[in-house]
Amino acid sequence: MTIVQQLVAGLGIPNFKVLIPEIIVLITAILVFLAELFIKSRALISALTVVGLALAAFSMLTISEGAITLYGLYIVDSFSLAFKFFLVIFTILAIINLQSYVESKKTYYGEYYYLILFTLLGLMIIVSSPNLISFYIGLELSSITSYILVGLWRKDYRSKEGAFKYLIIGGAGTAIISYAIALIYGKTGSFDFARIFHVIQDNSDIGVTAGLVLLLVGLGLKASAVPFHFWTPDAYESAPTPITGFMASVSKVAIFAAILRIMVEAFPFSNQIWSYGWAILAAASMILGNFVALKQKNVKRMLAYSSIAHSGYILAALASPNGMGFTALIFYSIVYLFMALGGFIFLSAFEKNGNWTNDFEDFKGLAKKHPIMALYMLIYMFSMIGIPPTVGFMGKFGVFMALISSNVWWLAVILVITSVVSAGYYLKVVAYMYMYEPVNSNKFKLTAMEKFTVGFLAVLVLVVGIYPTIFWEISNILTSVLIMNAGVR
Amino acid sequence: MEYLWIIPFSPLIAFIIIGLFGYKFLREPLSGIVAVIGVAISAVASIIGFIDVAKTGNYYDLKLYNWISIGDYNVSVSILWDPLSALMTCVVTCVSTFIFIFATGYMKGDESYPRFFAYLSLFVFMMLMLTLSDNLVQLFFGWEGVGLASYLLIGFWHYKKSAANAAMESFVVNRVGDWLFLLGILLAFVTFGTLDYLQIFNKLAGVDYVIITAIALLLFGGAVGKSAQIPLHIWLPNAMEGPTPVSALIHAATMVAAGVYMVARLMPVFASSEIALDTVMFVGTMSAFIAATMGLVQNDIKRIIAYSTLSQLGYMFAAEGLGLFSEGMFHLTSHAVFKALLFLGSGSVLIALHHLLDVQKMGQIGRAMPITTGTFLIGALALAGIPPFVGFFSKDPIIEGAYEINTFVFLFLWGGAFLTAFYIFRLFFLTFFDGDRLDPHLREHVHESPPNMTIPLIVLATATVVLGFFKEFFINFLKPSLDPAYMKFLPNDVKALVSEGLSRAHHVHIEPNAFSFLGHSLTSFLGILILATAIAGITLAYVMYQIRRIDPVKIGDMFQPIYKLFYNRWYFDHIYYAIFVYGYYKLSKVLWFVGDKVIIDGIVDGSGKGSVFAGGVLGKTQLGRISGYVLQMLIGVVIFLSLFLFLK
Repeated sequence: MTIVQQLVAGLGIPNFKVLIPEIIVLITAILVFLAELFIKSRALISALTVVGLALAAFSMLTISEGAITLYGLYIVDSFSLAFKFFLVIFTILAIINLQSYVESKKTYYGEYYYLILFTLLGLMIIVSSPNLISFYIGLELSSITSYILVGLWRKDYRSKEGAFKYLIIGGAGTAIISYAIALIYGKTGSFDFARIFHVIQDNSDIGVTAGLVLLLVGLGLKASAVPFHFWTPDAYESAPTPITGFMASVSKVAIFAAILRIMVEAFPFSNQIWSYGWAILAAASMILGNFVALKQKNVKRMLAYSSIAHSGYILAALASPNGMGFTALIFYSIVYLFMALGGFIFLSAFEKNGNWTNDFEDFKGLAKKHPIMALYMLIYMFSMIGIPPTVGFMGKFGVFMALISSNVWWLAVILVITSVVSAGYYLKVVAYMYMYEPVNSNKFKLTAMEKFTVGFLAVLVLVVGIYPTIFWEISNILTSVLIMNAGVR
Repeated sequence: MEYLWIIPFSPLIAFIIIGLFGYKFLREPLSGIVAVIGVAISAVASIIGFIDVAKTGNYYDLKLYNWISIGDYNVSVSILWDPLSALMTCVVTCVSTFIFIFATGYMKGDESYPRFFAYLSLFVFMMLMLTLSDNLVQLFFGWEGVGLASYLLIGFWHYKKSAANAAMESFVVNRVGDWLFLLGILLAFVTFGTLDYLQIFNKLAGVDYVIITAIALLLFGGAVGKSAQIPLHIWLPNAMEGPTPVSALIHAATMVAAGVYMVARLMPVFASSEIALDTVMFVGTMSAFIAATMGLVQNDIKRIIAYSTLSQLGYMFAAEGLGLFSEGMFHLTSHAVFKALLFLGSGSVLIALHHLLDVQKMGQIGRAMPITTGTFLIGALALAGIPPFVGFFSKDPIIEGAYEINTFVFLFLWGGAFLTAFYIFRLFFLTFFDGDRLDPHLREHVHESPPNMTIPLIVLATATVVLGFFKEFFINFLKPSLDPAYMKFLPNDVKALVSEGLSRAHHVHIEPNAFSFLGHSLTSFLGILILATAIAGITLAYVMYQIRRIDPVKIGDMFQPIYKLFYNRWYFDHIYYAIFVYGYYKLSKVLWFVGDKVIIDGIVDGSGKGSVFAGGVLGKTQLGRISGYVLQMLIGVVIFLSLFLFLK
């Protein structure tokens, strides 16, 4: 017997069938990496990426049976599959709008494509890790590539600055997470969620509490929850806009999914601690995010703060540690993808034009020049405020009901009040678009892809808002999967 | 009864068709025709359903589809078809049909013609979702939807700054009411565990009085916003910036009446709480009187009618607060008809005068526009409460009922009746008769409106004349929805509770039959008094503005403080501006200062400068902030950790 054979006999072969989507993404990333060296055609690289991602998404649909594989380091269940599917689809939507943007900004790099793919791979690992180690690996993979993505802007000082801040603070965040993991390991002797679940259930002492709270801090930092949000406005503002859209939607939602899985599967018995902790972070995020957003003059930065506020709304669901709260979190984070990506792609579409700086002033009279695009933006803004029948209303409604069912009235009240406050800046965009005369009559150049993406997502926001049943059911099912899986290995 | 789903969805389909193809294929006039057909179909369907309910007195609760489930409760899109919703639905669809037809003429030549009809159809859909709902969620959905449609339509001519501002104002003021309404719904959900009306009614008996009162008052807060009652009334007069058919449809006949409808719909909830009924009564009474005084001195033709709408809605709420729910709903129906008539009449005038709004600059156009004048006169007489028009049969019972129940309310409603008669005939004489103040250039072009505008006027005028004689039918028709003794869906203990709540009106007897009511009011002292009041109001208007025996300017000077109070609308707008607009501005400045300057800049800069990392290498650049950020983060971590480790 060779050593390899001995190893295989001892450990068994991992079930690669369920890893096909990840493998496809990895292969695509490597292919793009190589192709970028030899192929001049930028459209081709972009197409290659999209095809690879589409294949990955398609391969996910063919997986009929979940499994825990890679020696207990990787879980494929409906929860991870559903989230991975959304992540891949929304990455495609971000990527198809990347080329036109970076070319018009004269900052094209082929690296964008495979870096996004590696980030995506990291995020896919995050949502399907039943183990703190694989979670940590996924987190590092996605974080490090994100730092580079933010800084990839030719000769732009602010981009480097934003990336540097992101790197320092993100690094601090990962450091905190590793302390947290160390503490938890010291107490439980395992990284595995199921093991942690079993060890912790009867004795939740100070070591576990400290570990859990540090974990909350680290995860909160990654989810840009106040007071650990400092990197967000700078990184979001200085990154190329489609990348911002990718980070604000895809990366963030993956983090929310991971948070939910860790909380439910590893620490269900400490729910008093973490529900309280998330409630505080959520309240701070909602208050600070919304009030600071009020004073922004730049819409991109305003959306960055709005994204902080939305982290607050979504994390608030965790203050209600029961099925209703989890369902609300899953539903809101999925639909948040629509709004966040749509909003940023809208900006990126207009930003291509030289005289557009994302200031509120630029929005003046947009409804006259681009009535349809303005309508889409109006839908996004209404959805972010939470005006029915948009999906944002359903999201907030779900969180609100969950909070009330657990009698967390104070947080519910903060949610409502800050939502009212948020109308102040979202409606400002609408007001500038609809109630001012255009400064000049120059039309903006928009590509078909951008129109499609923005329109498609806006229609989704509206349709799912009117008929949320399907997505709500999906969230319900995922919740029950999650709860059922807790502690089972 | 499955066909009832046609009622809301026919306008929705019209909206989708116009929205998709309006500008490309349909344009003018096809998009208008599609909209008219859409709403006409639902009008026919609702009349068929109405007849069915009138015959049998049944109620139907159809669940169309499950929308979303919260815990054990399924929110569904559904139709509750009982006499009350049938009546309201018929009012909405029938009045809408005629207003739509009128609008095809009124909006002629407007470049956004398809957009207008798309919005109108959307509005009707939302309104029908509201009236047909069997639960509070769908009601709220419709409630917000009509608010949105109203916002879009008020700001329809968005290039006019005043229109855009008015749209914004209505939006903001309505949000205040809506938040109260939403809180009411949530409290109801927490209390009852359900939001279906019928289930709520079933559980009423066991719930604490304070909680019911709170729910009713919060919901009424929403009604105050939507129906523009004092103190949330300021948006409605400014909403007149929208096209006139919009004012007629949304801001007179249907949407603003939604609050009245909601209170009637939830009658058992309101009747279970005396405080709630009293609040409804006093808010209604004060609105009825104060709005009438504001209407006395305005010069904008549409705003005068808008104040009149406020005041008449006040009468409806007062009726409901007095326990006379059927009378309130009958007044709603009658008001929808004659107020739509008045608005459309003023729209016809505006078209003839090229959107001149100031009544002081009109005059003597009656002869050129006989149909408009005649129908407007009928509407004005109905509003003043002169028999045999429908306004008399619907408004007189409220005032007479108030006399028996609460003297304070009676005095204000009675005074309001005098003012009503005065201001509407002031408007009538100034516009159609009196001296020749009109610009000669305009005078040459004054002409009667085309048939698609006059026919709706004639139809509505006919309805104004005829409808009053069906008083008995309407009152009996509404009994299965509003009279606890006849309400099939209430259990006995709740019936007792509700009828105790309505006991304040038990000793009032109002002749249901129109003819005996007419006979009664012409013979009794009270009836003659009210009638004489109305006639006195008309006569005074005649003396002041037609034959000019009394100079209105002198009167104004004589009572200058009062005149100023009325003219400035009791200073409500000023006070709100001072508190909310200015206050909000100040508050956001303070918050910005505290949030940005003190906390963020202060701590970040201050701490950043102190640290070695920043001070040495990177201190002079922007990057100096990073260490500040990290430090701040560290503080956050420490506080957060100690929160759990030491405080718990």
